[in-house]
Amino acid sequence: MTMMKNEVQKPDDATLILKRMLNAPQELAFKAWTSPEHIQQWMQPEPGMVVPLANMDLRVGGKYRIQMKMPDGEYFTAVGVFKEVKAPERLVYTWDWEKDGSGAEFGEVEGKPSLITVEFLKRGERTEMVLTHSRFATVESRDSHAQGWGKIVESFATFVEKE
Amino acid sequence: MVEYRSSLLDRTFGALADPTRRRILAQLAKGEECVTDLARPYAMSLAAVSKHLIVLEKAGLVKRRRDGRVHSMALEAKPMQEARAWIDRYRKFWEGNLDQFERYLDKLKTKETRRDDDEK
Repeated sequence: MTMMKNEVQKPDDATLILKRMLNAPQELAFKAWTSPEHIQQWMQPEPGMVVPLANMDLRVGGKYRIQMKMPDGEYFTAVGVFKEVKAPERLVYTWDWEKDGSGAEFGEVEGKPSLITVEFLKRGERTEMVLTHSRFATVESRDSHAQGWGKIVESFATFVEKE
Repeated sequence: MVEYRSSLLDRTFGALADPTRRRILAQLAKGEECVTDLARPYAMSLAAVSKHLIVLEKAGLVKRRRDGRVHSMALEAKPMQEARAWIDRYRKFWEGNLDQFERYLDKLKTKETRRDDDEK
């Protein structure tokens, strides 16, 4: 049994925010998050998933592709473009899914990208990681939507659960 | 995580991106109301409120019921559930991933400390 070490914030702007204290220095965390050979080792949202291919062109405007394969052979391939690269503390990139995802090269995408911001904040020898995944594909549109409608989501959630 | 209905989601999030529409929804969360009652608290014309209601209707966030000339609006919960499901799916996805990431970092760190001997 592992303890849940995430602090999950109630989204206050239609975004998912996960925070976690990592027992590793900032540089190492950034490197492990962005290097293909490392990604292939840790990227495993579900048990049994493997990463046959990972490509990272880590620069603003550069693309990445992470191919994840389920034990049953189904592929989930995430692709996107880096919007901000500030090693070793901040990364902003779009996140989209390929329709098929089984190929070795970039394939057709669903075309509904979301946006991910990852921050690695130095906390002495440790690193605080903040991952923000937003429904909106650009920083601008996310910020323009950030006027606290998450409170509405919450009150609706309560309403919805009553149903 | 792939199969969510994105165009509906876009309309939902778009409809929610306006303070007046959020207030209207908050008001409707308390119960069904007729359009004229909804318009009353706002310093705007009935026509302007109607426009907001149409946006909310298109996003499927509210439902209109006609009783003769009186139009009543009520909240529809489903799109909000889908918006929430989107967030929940990614929460599961990233939580699993971050667990793995953390474990991997621990391993990496042990390896590096061994190699660099002691850095403290």
